[in-house]
Amino acid sequence: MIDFGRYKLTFNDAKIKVDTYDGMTPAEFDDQVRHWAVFDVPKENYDPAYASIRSAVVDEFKKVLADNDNKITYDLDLKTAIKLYELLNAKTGFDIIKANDDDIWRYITLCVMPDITFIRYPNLQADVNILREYIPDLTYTNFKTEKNSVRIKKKRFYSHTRRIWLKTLWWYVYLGWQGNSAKTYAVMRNNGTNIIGHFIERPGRGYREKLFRSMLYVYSMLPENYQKDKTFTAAAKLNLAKCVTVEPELTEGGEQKYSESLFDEVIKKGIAAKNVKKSDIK
Amino acid sequence: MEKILFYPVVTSEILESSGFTSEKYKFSYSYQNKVYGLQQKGTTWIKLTDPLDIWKIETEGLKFDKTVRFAYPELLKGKHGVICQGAELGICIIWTNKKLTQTGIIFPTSDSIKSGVRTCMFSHSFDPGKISGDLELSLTMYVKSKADNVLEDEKNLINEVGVTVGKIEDIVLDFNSLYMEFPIEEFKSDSEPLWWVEFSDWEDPKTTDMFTKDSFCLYLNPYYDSCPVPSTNETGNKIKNFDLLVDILAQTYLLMFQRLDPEDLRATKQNIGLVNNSICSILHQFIESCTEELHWEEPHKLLKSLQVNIRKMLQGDLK
Repeated sequence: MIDFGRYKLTFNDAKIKVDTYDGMTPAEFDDQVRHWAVFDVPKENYDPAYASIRSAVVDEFKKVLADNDNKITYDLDLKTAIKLYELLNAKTGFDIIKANDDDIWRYITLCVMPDITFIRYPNLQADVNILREYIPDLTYTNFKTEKNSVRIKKKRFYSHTRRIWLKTLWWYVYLGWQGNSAKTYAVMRNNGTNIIGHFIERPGRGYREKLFRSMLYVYSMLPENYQKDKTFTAAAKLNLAKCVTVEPELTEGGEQKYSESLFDEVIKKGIAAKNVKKSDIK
Repeated sequence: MEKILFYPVVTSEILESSGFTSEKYKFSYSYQNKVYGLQQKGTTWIKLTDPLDIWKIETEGLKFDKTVRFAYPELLKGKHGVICQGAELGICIIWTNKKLTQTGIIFPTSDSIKSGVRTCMFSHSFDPGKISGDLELSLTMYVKSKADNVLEDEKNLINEVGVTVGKIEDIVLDFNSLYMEFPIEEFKSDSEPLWWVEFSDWEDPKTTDMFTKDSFCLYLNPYYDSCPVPSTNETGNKIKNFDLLVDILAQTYLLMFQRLDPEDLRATKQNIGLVNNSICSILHQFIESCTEELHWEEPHKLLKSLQVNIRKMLQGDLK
């Protein structure tokens, strides 16, 4: 079992690393991007204890990227996340205390898997063009340059506790876990990247694991035409509002029934709003 | 948005009339199949210590026992109470671990009525690896089952299962932080000052913005020898450049209070509509913990009184 607490990178150390990348000459950094594009990270950069974890996660990332015609999709995030969680969980000594430790995630991100983090979140279009030399037709649906970052997206690599990419993936799967990888994938496959953000960035008083797992399950059982980010977003907002006075676990039928009623309410409101619009047109 | 409730919740008068009594929490831990007690200091903000010096929340977890009684539980029902006569009142403990962003419910292990006295006993264990940093325990009442018939004079009462009808008792355990996980980062740089604060855009510090690094962060720069890095020394009981840390924290609190608009500041002082662990709720707890009066009249007077209080708090922590 790995002693995860041994391998950490403080905010300061992470910043120094990123500043070093950002301080490279354009030619040096282009060369670095080319290494990452072929998933080349020197073994000396990370402890050998992480070798098998890196290998498994990077292989999964590569495979899913290729399967999706080199498009960066939600499916890529989800499958990478599930693989990561399979390797880092309570059974392997990675409990939520460690999962909450940004210094551990900074080490994993910047030392162990900077390549996939960079491919997932490059900051400049010019760098995407370099990546495309090796990953043909690499496509992003919503490419954005991060303000105050140079060539490395600071927030995704180290600076924002709820945006460090690999950390958000881990928590997303942890909160949505349905008992095993296959069930978890089945329940979460129709979600979107926005749902990850919604879950991780709006914890309310705290994460209610059973509630989140129920909400995702109920959402996955909705007819496909209702499985849209906006449905989930509306239900999540309604939940936050309700949780001021209601404890889902204390309601009749517990989290499951509560989740069903949330989505029922959202869908009914959506239908009612549509009807109002139609009558306005008439 | 303030938390405005359109139904009555439990008040100290209602509690008193119901004959509520509460035994102190008893905290303990298991080590090599034996149970050892922990000592506690404080009433609302509690620090636990282990006379044997074995216990750490992360590695040993935490057990607790708690008993509460209502001599006249029926007085919690009806027009002068918080739920309808035909409804059932539940008692639970809502726990929140701010550091790990976790929350959950603890139900009584036994809940009985004998000679009219209702006794709820709680016994719970947090496994190692589940909790870190802090733990809030809120003894809470809720509607367990609703009344089929709502009497005419009970129409103002909530009658919906799962709705909480008030906190009875609230404690916060501070396991290992000097100032409740005040968001601090060390950042060594020759081009930055000794310390500075960064704030994110706050949406609503009373409800949505939590007292975490998401909302603000104090940066301390160990490039300077005088930097009072938050870590303690090897024996864990001395802060480097204590006086400077007091000053920096006081100025940081001042900046935070100044960032609140007058309405939010009023809500913070009076504990109106504050969601647990929100910026305003932690600032409220901070105000409550101050033993010397805070002088709000002018910024320089507030800063001075903050310094006095923070010094006392940190000195208390270090003892």
